[in-house]
Amino acid sequence: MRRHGLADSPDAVGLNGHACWGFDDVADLQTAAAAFLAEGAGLGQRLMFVGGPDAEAMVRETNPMRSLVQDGTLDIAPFDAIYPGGRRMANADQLAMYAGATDQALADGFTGLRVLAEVTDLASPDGAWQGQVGWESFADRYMATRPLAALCCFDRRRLPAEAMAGLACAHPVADRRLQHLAPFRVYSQPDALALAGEVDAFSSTQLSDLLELTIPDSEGEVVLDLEGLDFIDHSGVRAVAEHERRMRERGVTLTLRGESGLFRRLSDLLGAET
Amino acid sequence: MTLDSEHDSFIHEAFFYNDDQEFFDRTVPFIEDGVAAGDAVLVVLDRRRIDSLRSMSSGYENVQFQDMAEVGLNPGRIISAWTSFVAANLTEGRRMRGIGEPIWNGRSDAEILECQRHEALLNVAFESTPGFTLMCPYDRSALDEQVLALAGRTHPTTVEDGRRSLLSRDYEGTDVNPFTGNLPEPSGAVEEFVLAGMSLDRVRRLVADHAAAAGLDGQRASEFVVAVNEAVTNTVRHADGIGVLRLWREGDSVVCDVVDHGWIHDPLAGRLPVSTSETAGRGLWLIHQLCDLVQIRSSETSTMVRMHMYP
Repeated sequence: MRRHGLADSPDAVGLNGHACWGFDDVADLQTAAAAFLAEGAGLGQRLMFVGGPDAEAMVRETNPMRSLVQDGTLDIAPFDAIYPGGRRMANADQLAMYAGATDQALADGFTGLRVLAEVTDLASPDGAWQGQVGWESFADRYMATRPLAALCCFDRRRLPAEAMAGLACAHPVADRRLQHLAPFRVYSQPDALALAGEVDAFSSTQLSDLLELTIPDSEGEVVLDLEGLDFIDHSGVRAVAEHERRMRERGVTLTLRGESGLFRRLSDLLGAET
Repeated sequence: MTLDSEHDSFIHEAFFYNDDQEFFDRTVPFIEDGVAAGDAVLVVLDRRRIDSLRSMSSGYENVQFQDMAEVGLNPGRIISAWTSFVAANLTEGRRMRGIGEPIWNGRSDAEILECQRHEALLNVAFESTPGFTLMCPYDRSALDEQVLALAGRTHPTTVEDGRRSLLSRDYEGTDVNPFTGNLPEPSGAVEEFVLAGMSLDRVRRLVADHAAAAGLDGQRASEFVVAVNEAVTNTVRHADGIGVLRLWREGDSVVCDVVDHGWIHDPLAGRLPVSTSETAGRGLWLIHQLCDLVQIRSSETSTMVRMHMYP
């Protein structure tokens, strides 16, 4: 089972963990980064950093990152090499790059690859965060079955709440301090998309928007696993039903799995309503 | 056949019976005449009565039966059931007959009070529905005189001792406010919370903890949480989030009040399935569907939604 939920520290996300962190200042980023890298080192993953200049300076200058860089344990990838021109490549190309690096890590005797990423710049221009959410969700599908872990760090001071919320909801693990922005999470399991957490009248629109950004490129069948839902109200059930309808129009069959008795009850009641 | 509301107006009749004989002497011909005329017939009674009726005739294939203990345990749900029945038949131009006995011996005082408000609201809900006749049996041998007397106020016509139906002198018409009056103060240990500034997820946890401590089973506890969540969502949406939440137990039941300064105007709010974007009404409708008894009191100054969940 893949790790998911809100976390106080990204120190136990597993080989294919994917966490979203919203930092307030460099010291805050440093604490999260150290915990995340320590877990990866313990698991035998290759460690890699990619990020903006302030974050890179932090990694180069403060321990334990500094000594990890010095002894060659932590690679610093030039931001421009990973994100040419400061932008993401097309999702498939971007993923091919990370998948290649993961395969290389395995070939070199590591248990996988672990990426510490500070990518506020990719999400901060107007509207860019939606593209970033789409990418996170796309990459998460790959990560569900491969030993690639990532801590995606965003400077909360530089992003609107709406963007921070969308990004946090698109990761299986999120910074607990973002709970008010990200009461639920949509992420990938090996054979399904999963919705976990809580959805109510004040987050159901956010859920609709996020599901729209996770629509797969190809036709076929998608399973939506609801096992991890702690609460959903009628507006959330409706958002899921609407998503199912939109997917069907695009030739994708959405099948629900692990829904609670309450979810079915609310579905039945809403069906009776129209 | 076409129906028009002027000549085929809604008939809502209270029928007082003294024993089983009188009950069946009137209900059986009512059903059979309906079947013979090709009317749609829905009978909502307790399980024992349904079994008796079914054993009396084999000609009931086209008669629908529903258990009043399920449909109408919470009287606030019953109009929804009749609305579905009407919606399914009205477009075909069929006449409709119904039998519904919402008040039975053993109902609590609070339930009877809500049943009376429900009976009054039926006149509002189906005022302009043509071709619908609804008969409401009242058990004279078991119900209080006061309850029987009130039936005259909520039904335009009544039938006594198996005779012809008579216009009810006490009938109060369709200018109904089901939200008047005050509910009794809770007794015993009451947990009270100020809602302003409290997040919905915290409200849900409080209610879930209370329901679990009271021993409500998992599914019913989660339905109770959804109901309270809907009430508080309305407080946030329509009363600036300012209100009070009260939780307590009555016997083995759990009860929750949500009080705010909103004002519900529509007498049928929560009674009808809502398919429009009127979200407050949908919330109240769901609360009625999920809880075992719902009591709503509303005035210019405040609204109280009291939700009961039985063990």
